[in-house]
Amino acid sequence: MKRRLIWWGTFLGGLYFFLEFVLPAEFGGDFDDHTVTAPAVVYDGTKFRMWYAGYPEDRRSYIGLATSADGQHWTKETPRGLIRTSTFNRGDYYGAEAPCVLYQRGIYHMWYVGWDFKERVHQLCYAQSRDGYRWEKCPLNPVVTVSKEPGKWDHSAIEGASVIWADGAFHMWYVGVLGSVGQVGYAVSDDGANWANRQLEPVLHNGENGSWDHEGITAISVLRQGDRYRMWYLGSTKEQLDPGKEDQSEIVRVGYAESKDGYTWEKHPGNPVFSLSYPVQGTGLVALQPVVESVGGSTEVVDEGRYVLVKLPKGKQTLLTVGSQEQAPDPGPGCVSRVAAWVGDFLFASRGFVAQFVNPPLRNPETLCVVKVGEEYKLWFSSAELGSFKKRAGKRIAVATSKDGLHWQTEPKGHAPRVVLDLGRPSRSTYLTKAQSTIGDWWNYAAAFAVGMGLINLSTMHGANVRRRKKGWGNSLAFFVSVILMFAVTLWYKQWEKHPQFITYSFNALFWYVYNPLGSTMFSLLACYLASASYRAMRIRNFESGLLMVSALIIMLGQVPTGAWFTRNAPSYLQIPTLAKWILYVGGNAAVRAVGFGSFVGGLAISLRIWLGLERGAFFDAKV
Amino acid sequence: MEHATVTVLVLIVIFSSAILYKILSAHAGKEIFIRKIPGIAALDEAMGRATEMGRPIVFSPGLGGVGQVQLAAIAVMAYLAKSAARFNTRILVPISDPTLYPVAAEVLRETYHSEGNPELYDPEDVRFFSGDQSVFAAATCGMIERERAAANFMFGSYGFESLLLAETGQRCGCIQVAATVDMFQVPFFICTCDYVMIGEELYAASAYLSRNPTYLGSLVAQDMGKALIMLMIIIGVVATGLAVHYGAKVDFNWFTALLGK
Repeated sequence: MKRRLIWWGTFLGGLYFFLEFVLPAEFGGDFDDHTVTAPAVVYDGTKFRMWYAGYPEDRRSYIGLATSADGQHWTKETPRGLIRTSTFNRGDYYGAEAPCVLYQRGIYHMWYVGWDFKERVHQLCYAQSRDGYRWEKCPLNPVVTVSKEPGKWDHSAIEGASVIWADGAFHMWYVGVLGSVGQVGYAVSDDGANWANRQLEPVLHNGENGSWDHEGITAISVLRQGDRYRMWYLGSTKEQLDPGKEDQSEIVRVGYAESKDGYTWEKHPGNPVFSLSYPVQGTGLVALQPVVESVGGSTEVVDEGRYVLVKLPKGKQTLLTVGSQEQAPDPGPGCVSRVAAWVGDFLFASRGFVAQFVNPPLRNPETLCVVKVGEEYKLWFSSAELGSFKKRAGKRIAVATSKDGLHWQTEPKGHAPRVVLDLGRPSRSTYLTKAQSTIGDWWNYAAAFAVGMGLINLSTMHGANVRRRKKGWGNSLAFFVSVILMFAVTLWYKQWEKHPQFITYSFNALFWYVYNPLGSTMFSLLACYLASASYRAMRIRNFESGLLMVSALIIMLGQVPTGAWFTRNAPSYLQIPTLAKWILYVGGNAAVRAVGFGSFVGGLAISLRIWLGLERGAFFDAKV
Repeated sequence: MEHATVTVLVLIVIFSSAILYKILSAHAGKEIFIRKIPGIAALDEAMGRATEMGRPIVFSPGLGGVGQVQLAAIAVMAYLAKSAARFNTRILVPISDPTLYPVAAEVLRETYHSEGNPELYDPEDVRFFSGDQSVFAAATCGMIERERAAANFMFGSYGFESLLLAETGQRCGCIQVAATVDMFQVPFFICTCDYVMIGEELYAASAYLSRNPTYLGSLVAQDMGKALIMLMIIIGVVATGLAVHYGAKVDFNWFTALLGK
């Protein structure tokens, strides 16, 4: 009976996991169920088309298409994605994202950020389409690559572009990144694929120290109007929002710049022109935009959201102008950074607190696209903090409008911007999906009991050593002392916010200055053991070991400049760094994958045997 | 967890059907040949050596909790335990994951019991050390040196501690047999161990040792699965080569597109 129960339990559990995870995601979900970002909008006078990047959880990004009649209400056209990553590396092996689309001479041109396999960086790829649906990737991809020179401003990545057609050529402004700092570069092309005419230096720099765009430029959108070029760009900086903590938060805002020739840009003196979050000068606090809901449920919104009514402790309240330079009064201790829970657009403070002037989740725009529609400007942007948290977290797309391109507003006023393009259907396939987290929790409970059993085993063993005064019993005593000490200190440190300073010092001392260095010491032993093992084992006894030694030599030399110097006069395909890369990424990779195939099939076989109760476990003559 | 694609789902169905078919045909009495795997044949040799020297053996199932790799390792441990019970040789089992600890302890106890030598079982022979790799490595190395093990078996998943354990065993003069599916640790084992089993040879060990028809049948099916994968690779290479050569004139990308779905 017991065996039958175990068999049925194993079978049903396996069946659940099979249905939950082995069935393709397409059975129940869309390619963009996790993130929707990077809008690229084209308006042909009657219809809006938006190409955007969608991310499924744990998988590579694709580019999809949505259409709209008014720019507010969108219909997704491609639940499976439109531009998918290339099976073989053509510059977008790991992901296709951040598209920029231009309709010119009857052809849709798209430049998108592809994550390259070989170089492991973001670079720009190019594709064409006649109808916006079927795209043909350029065989020269990636068409705009990172600079090969280390330390150059665009050496780390190319993170996006904006392209217009002017004067018989394609003009591209792109975001080049070094480290984490982005600046804007400029290039011109006749055909959209060959961008040899590329400026060596950026045409728009990040801001100076302390400015709102000091940390770099992350995205751009360029329009040409008459004789001037207009650029909207995202600039980021880090600010300390909570005076009580030293942490700095990244804040991203929209800036504006103009140019007459595309090379020389002038930033607008009123920058930033748009922000989803308004840091208030003098306090480091971030205002909401702009709803505060007081305890009791009533909503206090004054003057359509331009003002925020803030209730302070002890019955005080203040009227704060959002976005202005007015200085908020010092709210007093205990008021700042009282984090409350976000539910939808409203902020709920917990009972017993007056609605606090809190740090809400920052609504940082991540990408943007500006289009002029008639006399109005529309700015589509993505952000991770749109939409209700009752639903799924993830980046979504919203829109802001402006009459002049400098003063922007979102709808509805007084609330978080409305999402115009939401996440796709979640990629789940069975009704048991909701039970997944519960099952995961129960697994954790069981694992916790197992940890307890392990501790009991350790205690029993070391206790016996101490009791019998076995050789080395002092080490066993040290085990008890260290376990009890670490447990007590960590519990006190983590469980209660307020604790004596010596507890903080003790925790830091035990964890950062004892435990971690000991682990690093064990890791560093690898260096010695590697040397001794190699010396002992690496002897050229036959052809295979000789081949191994030559390969190892090539790979080691390929990692240092000396290897490149040795073969500097050889053809590029015979140079040591090239050979080293080939051995590692082609030859070695093939061998690893070949073994991986075998392991996969073997794992599948043993899993099937366990699931169907055919696995005899450790008893080779009795069924489990 | 990443969901399968349609192609992977079809492949899983094909592989599973082949495995079940071969298991049934093995049970029907069909003779199945398995080539000799040196590492597995060395298990008895190592056990014999440890018995002669009167020293214990160390069997480490590596990192990770209860999973396919660890269960395959525990199956080999049970085989060694049967031999050990006959020859009164101790087996020391260092455990990294607490969820594996009760499984290993129970298997060892039951195996000794079934061989008629229950008094050989000592609960302290199965030792949970820590889930932390560094701690596990330090404790296991210490155990190998203190107990002066004669043989060191490392079956399972390993991280950087593979070299630490293997080199310690090498210094102590242990005969060492390793088996892992982690390709990045295989070179370390090859440098330091006497016998190494790579990838699915770990899974084949239980079939090789027991000669059970179920295991033998699934082993043959695994080979069939690998042959199918090889065939797909060859077709894909040819299709891609033709696609590159003929360009847009003829569409050979259907195969690569199929794999990508």
